[in-house]
Amino acid sequence: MRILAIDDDQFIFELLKEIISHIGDHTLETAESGSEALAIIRDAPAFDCILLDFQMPKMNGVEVCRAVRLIDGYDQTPVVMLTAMSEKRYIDAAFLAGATDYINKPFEISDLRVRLGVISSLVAARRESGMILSPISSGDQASVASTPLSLYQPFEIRDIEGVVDVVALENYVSKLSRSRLFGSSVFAVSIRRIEQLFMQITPFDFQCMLVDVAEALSDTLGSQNFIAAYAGSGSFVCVVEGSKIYNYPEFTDRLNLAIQRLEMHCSTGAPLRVRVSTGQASRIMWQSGTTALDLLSHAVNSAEREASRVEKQLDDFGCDGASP
Amino acid sequence: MDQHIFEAGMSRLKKLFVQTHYQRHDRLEYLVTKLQQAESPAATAAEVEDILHKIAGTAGSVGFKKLGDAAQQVEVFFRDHPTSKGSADRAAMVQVLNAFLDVSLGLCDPLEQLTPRNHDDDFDKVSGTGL
Repeated sequence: MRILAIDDDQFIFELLKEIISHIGDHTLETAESGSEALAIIRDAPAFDCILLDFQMPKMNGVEVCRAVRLIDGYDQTPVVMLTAMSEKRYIDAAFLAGATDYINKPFEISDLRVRLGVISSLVAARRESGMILSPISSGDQASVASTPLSLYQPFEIRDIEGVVDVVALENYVSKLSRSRLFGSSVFAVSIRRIEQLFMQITPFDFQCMLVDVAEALSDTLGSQNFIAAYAGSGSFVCVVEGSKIYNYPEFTDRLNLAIQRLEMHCSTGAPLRVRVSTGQASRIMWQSGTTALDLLSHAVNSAEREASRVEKQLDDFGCDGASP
Repeated sequence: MDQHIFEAGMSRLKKLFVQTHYQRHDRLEYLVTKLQQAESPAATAAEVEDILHKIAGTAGSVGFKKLGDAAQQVEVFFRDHPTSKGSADRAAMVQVLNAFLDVSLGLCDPLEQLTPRNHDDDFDKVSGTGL
């Protein structure tokens, strides 16, 4: 990979040069400030990965990350925060600004090696799938691959407050868990009769519908500290601080109301009836990275089970489900 | 990875870190005095925080974990105690910074006497204990 490191500490560059030269086929370039980095990025051919310090004079890492995301070709480039700032508020701010991963200084050499390996695989996979961000009808952006859209495949939704890529959300949950920053809860929201909707509408309409649901979810969670991502199969995973949502049924009603108010339609003009269900929430505790990620799949499974249960109940009462 | 080459590289970085740390330690000694005297200590506190931040971010990666942890604790203290809050906070800042300088001296003292003679000196045996 071609890596750009941005840090105001020269010693970090020395350290990174030493480590990176020994861990694979990577090249490293450096910038001592956000403004220098942005100039380099605008002038030079694309970097595959950016390593970014948080606390720097004039422009901090979050501001640099936001600015990088606006540069052509950098909307999906992995940005790894490499910082001594370990409090949760900094971690939240970094992921919400578009960071892909967060590594605390001082870093373990073995950890940096593993994390760069994962980023390298992500870069290769995105390159292979030809994935790009493309604008959709609402003005937001969603990632589109050159391969046909699959129901199960997550895709990235951009420009919606609190909504990030699912890879970033996984890294966020792992980071909270590993750093013992407990207290946040994970839950998921699933669109009911998603298979039926996927079969009945075009891939473009399907993506637009999911972006609209993401918008409604973001608005409904509005005042809370949250980070959410689309996890595929019509499910969104959300991480909220503490257990601020005391009443999930009431939250689900508000979310469904927000979705209903969007008055969704297909490109053909046919109305889209979209309803969601919410699964059980789990608190983030101290867990290994893998176990922490299990929380996300448990949340999705729980929401999907609830969606099926509600639909079955409606079927038993003879109510009509989703139809475009 | 060629372990021998890698270890030689890390040993070089460790030496570089210590050389830089002498200057940082001296600067912090100067700033702790300034912190007690300055009428508006915000800029001094910000410089202290910046130096501690750099130490906290790198010391652990080259084997000086205790120094890095101490720097991080004092950095967080400075960040959470703005100088505008009054003289009591300033006295507390001076106290914690002095405590850090004591830890830092533990790294500087034995190394002051150490002049690396050549590539195969015993530097690591002295500095690698990480306080």
